[in-house]
Amino acid sequence: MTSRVLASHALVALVLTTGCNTTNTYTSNGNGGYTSVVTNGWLAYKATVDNVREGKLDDGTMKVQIDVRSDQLNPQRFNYLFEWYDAQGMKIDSATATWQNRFIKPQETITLSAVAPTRTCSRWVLKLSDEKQPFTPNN
Amino acid sequence: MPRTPTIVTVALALLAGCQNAQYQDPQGTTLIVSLNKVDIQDFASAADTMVNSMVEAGVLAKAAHQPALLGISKVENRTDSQFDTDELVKKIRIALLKGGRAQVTQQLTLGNAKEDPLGDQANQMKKFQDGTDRQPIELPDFTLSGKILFDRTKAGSTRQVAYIFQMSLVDTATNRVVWEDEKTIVKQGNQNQVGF
Repeated sequence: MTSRVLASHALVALVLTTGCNTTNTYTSNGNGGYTSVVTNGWLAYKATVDNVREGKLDDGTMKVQIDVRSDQLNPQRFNYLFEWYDAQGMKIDSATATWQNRFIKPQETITLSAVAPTRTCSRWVLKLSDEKQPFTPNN
Repeated sequence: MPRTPTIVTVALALLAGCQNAQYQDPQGTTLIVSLNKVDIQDFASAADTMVNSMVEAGVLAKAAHQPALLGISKVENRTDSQFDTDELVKKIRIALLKGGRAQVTQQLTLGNAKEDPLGDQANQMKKFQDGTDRQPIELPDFTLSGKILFDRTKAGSTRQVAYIFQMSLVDTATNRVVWEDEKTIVKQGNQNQVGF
């Protein structure tokens, strides 16, 4: 009986750590840094934010470049989306915003870039996801 | 239990993939990826690259008018599939307009084709009534043009298609190309698939 309980707990733990196809979110803190909410360990292993650079164009539009690193030993793919918010925390929709797919080589660091859709944007949110993650109901 | 086989059959049929039509997020990752056409996410991705590049170049911000006045020139579809190039151009226009970076003129259009004929007619009548109909028309600061090309190849059963989006901005004061960019989207596989 004890072994069955342990097995079921192990299964739940496995599902929680590898099976949840959740999104990892990185949010600017307004001071050039960021906070992260990583709920998908598998995804973070192949695409994790290493470094963030924020800047402004001549007309005051915010620009961001984010270095994303893969710790995997195989080539991988992941999806990403930038969202933008103004100083009041209101989301600014962009007509061209869409999830984009990126290829990343083993142990490679790539740079994702984005320019704010309006001059009023002061914060960004980067969402990373992985539709092709193993052990998920989607596959 | 005579009902058991029926229930099992129904359950198996449901699990086997009887998929009813359902709405999808147009910005999401569950859209179909096609090897024989440009998908909506391809247009969005290309438009996003073009707008970011154009804004980053800072050309529009240097125009005499703010927001800059844009004329839409020829955007050609040179692929083997039929689509309206507005799937790309309109997204770019919306992004520039909503971002306060450019407005599109209707005064000077390619082939004199007015997007909103009634709006153009009303404008002409207003000018006539105001006595300003003989004043020179407002010319665009820039014109936007482009091409969408494709390249198709295969190796064994693996097919590959590349769509190349090219766009240019001409400064009408100098007739010089002041911004250009290109985005290539490559798709590879044996068949179309759901999600990416």
